[in-house]
Amino acid sequence: MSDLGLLSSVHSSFEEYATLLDDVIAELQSDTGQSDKCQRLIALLSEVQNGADGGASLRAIQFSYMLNDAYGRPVDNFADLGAQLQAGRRDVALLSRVSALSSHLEKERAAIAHRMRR
Amino acid sequence: MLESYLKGSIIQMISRARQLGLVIDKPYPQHYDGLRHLCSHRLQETLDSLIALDRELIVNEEIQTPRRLRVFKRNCEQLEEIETIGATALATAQQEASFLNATVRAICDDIGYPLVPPTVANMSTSHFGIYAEYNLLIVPLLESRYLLHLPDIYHELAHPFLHGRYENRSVLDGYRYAFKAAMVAVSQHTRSAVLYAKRERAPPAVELQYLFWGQAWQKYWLEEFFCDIFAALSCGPAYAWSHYHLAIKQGDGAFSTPTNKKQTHPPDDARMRIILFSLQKLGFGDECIVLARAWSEMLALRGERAEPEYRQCFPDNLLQTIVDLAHAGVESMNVNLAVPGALTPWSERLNEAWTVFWRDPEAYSKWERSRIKILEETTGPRR
Repeated sequence: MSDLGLLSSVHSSFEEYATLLDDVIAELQSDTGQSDKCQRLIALLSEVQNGADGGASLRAIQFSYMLNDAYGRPVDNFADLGAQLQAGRRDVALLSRVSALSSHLEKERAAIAHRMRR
Repeated sequence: MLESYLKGSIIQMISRARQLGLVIDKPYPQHYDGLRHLCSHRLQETLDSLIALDRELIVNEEIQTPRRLRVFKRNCEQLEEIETIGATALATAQQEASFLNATVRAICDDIGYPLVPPTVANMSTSHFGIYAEYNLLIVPLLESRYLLHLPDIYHELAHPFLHGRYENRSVLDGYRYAFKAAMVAVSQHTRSAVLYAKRERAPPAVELQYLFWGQAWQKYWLEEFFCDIFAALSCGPAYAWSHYHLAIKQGDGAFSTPTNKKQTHPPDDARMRIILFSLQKLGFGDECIVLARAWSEMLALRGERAEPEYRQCFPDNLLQTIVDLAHAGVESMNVNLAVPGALTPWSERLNEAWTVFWRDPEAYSKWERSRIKILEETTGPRR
């Protein structure tokens, strides 16, 4: 069976959000003000908290599933993370949390890309 | 040391990206304009990202380098993809593909496909597949000489509906809303199953099993089911026969249900069930009886039987709910469905091919050759 159509679709979502998280990290590191990308991440994290039943957009729901582990457990406290970003915090602990989320997505993205190349 | 490596490698990749630009900028046949534009756009994005990496001032390697490594790896893979997929499709534009390009455009016209039809390239190493990022449908080298698998085109056409590129296309709103409702239905199913396991005081492993399946449903299987439903609704019974054909040739474990290892495609039997539910919804009751009999006979001859886990993971009521939701989503796009007795032209041709095949399997190849010849002459240019 060809997995290509499905994997290509899923891969592009992982790639998009891994890139978003790394862009936000770069902004946090350079200590610029809150950009569109950071605002987009804050908005997504806020939607993720509402969940599928609470009116979150399809993209936000998909994002939340990407940020779960294999058994559907969130890999971080997204309400708190969104609040910290919204408050404009820039410390190393916050950077590590966003970096861990990015690594989580990148790991799965790379695995999907590997399957697509087979 | 790693930053020194990155510095040299980034410069090398920038040079490669510029070389790739020269390949993409060459003249190609007109129906490759869309693909060329998408390759060019993606290449520019990658190049911009590499240049930004090259120019970044390194202040703290411990903080910056892990992110820079991730970004560099993604950029390398994007370049590789543009080179091996997009640019290769351009560089190997073949005569074989022009008939299929015309066919795909005709299918899209028939069904009222709401997006720009994809470009086709005969460069697949396995079966049909679509790169939504490039709007590129790839098929095996000789596929344009055969009809029985062409229904799979309808399945591939549905993958871009959920792609981020089309997030703001209002024509897809109803479909995307239906998909979201299906995600909620799957989530509720998982919650109910976990609750039931708790009440029954089942071992914790049972709950984890349901949660693991829930993730696979949401991340992978649901999209594949939606594409199957779209194909069944827009192509008709020929799509079910095409699935039967592929499952026999390439399938491996029609009831295969993962317990802890990732499985991106749902099992073939669950896909056939969801296809049959979709066809029944359109009124293809008699055809479904024949299909179900052929499918069961094939599974029995292969000695395949459903395990309890399969039934727990893919219950009828959940599959039926998904069909109902997807059907509403497809209808909301005003797509022309395959109604019994009033099929769209290409759907009729593909269903006819399967009817002829079953009427006289041995004589089918001869019929198919003459049919393809007529279609090549009438469907579109063969340059």
